Amino acid sequence: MVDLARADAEQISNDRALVDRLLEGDEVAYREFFSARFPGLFRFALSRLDGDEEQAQEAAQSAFVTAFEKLDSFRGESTLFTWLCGICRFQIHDLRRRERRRPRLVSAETGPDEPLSELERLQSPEEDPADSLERKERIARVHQTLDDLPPRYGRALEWKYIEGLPVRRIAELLEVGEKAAESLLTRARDAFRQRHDQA
Amino acid sequence: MTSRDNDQDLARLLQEAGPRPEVPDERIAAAMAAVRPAWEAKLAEREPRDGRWRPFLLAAAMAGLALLAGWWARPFLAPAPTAAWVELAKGQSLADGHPLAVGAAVPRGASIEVEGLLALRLETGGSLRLDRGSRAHLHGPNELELEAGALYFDSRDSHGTLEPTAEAAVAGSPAMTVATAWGTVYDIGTQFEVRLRGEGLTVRVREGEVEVAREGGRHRALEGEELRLGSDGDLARSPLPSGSETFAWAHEAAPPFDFESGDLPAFFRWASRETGKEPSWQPLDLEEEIETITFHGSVEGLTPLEALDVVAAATGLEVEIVGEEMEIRRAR
Repeated sequence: MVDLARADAEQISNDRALVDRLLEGDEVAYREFFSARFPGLFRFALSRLDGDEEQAQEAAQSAFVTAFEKLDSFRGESTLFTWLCGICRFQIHDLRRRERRRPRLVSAETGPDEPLSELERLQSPEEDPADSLERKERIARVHQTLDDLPPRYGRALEWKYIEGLPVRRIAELLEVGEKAAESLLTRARDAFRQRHDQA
Repeated sequence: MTSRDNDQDLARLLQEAGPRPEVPDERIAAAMAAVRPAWEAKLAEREPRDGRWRPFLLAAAMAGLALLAGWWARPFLAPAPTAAWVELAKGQSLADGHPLAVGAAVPRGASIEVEGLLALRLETGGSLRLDRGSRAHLHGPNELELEAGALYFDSRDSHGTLEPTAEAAVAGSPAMTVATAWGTVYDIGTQFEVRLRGEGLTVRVREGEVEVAREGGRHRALEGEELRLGSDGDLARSPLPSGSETFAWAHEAAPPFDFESGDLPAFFRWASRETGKEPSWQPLDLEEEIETITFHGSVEGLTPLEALDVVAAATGLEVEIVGEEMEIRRAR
């Protein structure tokens, strides 16, 4: 049985150490921070901006800028990724406000070029729009939970349950022994369940 | 449930979601380059702390210790800390049985009963309004339990500024949590209404995003949506009803704009936020032009729409609500 509170505390402690290194000007930490957390934050923004990649890039990038401005106020009350998501929500919010203020093109023949609403876009002839939206939220929550885990945990779960790789192959990819891979998978499953329930 | 069942549930969940979409390396590299100046600025800002700032840091540490001692002695010296101040009270409202008037402090843990309309400015900067017949316990500036009636929450301050409630969300906690018998509502930087109705709960999101947690799951409500949750587990999602009646009571309970602390463009931003109508300036530079106009007077007692009419007439402007926009032009 894994001590989840301890696992969480360990991740937060790792995040704080990473923040300390960033504040000391450690270039390796800067690259680590981006490669580990930018993709997850980009996906977080993408799922909330109707798949608009340019806007998602802008929102995630702006969230990183704000995070650096406030980096010494990171108190470790949540993981670094959850903290980034909190900031990113506000960037998305502001993007939407700006979007609404942008002048819109109106054609005299066809009327305003209104985008499809979220419900219309998701609706398929077979699926109820509300069910469709719930499914989309469920998927986004799973991806966000995977992104909130230590990167090795997220990858191991995808390899095992989505790609169906055997533990031996996962051990090779993680460059550890089979027993260590089994143990990592157990910790990853527990951490996923805990964060998914909280998400 | 066995661990095998748990494992199968996890597998189903992950298989339905599929692999996370890949993010191309070029995107990551572009972001790294764009964000680097912010990191470098942060490093430069921290440099003076080494060495010559040590005496000041020592003084700050001593001041911190003094504050800590004060905090420790607080229960012996002071009453419960304030969670909010009254900004508007129409009809009678009580906190722990005492009548509330404009300017009164509402302590943490207060039980509030509202016969008329009540608007509070929370310590965090957000605006909380309670409709007629509401009963609530204000546990703190970002935690409330609604027993009856309806509330409207706006996480921005009276000038539409996100600070300081944004700080709370940045730290990973919602600016407001509303507990009800039918579920708990978490704000994520928003304007929203929560209404208890018989055996259920209705959440209307005007701006931003809200999450409702209850036994059996969590549900997100986005801007422009209404979520109806029944006690039997039913969930209905629909677009917000159109028409001026949707948030009419919250408009009526809006605290008046204070011209002592805000200029004319700030007034229009406030009116836009209160009415949910985006300002459309005709011509575009009109917004800058009116910065030079000073409005003397008060709009106390007026709803945001009434205040708009009064201020526009007094300043030679014309305001027309067209769909979701508020068109502002010079009077003809």
